[in-house]
Amino acid sequence: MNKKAIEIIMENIIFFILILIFFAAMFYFVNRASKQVSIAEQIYAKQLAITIDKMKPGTEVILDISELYDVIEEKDYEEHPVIIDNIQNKVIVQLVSGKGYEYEFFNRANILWSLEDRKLYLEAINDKDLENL
Amino acid sequence: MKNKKADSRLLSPWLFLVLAIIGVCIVIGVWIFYSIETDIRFAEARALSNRLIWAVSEEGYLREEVLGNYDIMRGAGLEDEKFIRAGFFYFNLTIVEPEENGEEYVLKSFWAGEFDFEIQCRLLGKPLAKCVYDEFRLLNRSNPNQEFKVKILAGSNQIGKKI
Repeated sequence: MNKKAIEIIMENIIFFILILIFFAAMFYFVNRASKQVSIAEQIYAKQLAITIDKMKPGTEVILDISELYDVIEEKDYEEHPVIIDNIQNKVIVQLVSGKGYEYEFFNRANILWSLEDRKLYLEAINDKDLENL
Repeated sequence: MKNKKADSRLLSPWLFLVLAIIGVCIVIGVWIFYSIETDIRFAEARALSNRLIWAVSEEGYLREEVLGNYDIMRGAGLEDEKFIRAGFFYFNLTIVEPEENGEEYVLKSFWAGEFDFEIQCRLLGKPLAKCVYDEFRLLNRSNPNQEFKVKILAGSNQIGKKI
């Protein structure tokens, strides 16, 4: 092979590698964005808040939150992934150590909640029911 | 261009420019996708409106206590604190009696929250509140020939903290 031919092949190989690196980086970025813990925290906090806002006293809801447990197991986080604060009317979703994501709800009812078997159990009760518990 | 070689040399800056444009487009696309997916203001406004409908109506009739000294916040199960301090929510519920000449006589009006939403709801733009407007008729339980028109404007502007 002469010098010119080697030069052309090298140029093409470099070009190909550059394109490959670029698209690999883009794929990595999109994949990472979709699995980002902060986005999962935000999506779940908002979904739970809107679910609570729609609950009337007496409503019971069971939600499968296995996806959140998968994340906290992967990240070795040992706390509850979801906390519902009835005093400040906030849903807090936390999947790694830090502040997590908080979102407010406007439902006045007290929300009884528990986590069992990778599921979140919610029950809306009014103030009077709470006094009788 | 003078010859083919010059053409090839010019290719790399253009190549990098094109790759940069594609990269920026993908980043913006992903950012827009996730920001739209997590915006639930319209759903919140709908949930708020539904709670107000539930608070004033009962099987197609207007709840009798509504026209008296009625605590709509308690009736709709709404947390006062979230409407007084937070500034994220607003509602305005008006009960009118339509008259034969087409005019409407306001019987009762309730509102709470950020009053500025009255204007924001008429405008378009991402930082502005998202609202729903409902209008329906209810009958008087003690006199089914009398009907009331209920108008509800409910809005939310809770975006949550930025990631």
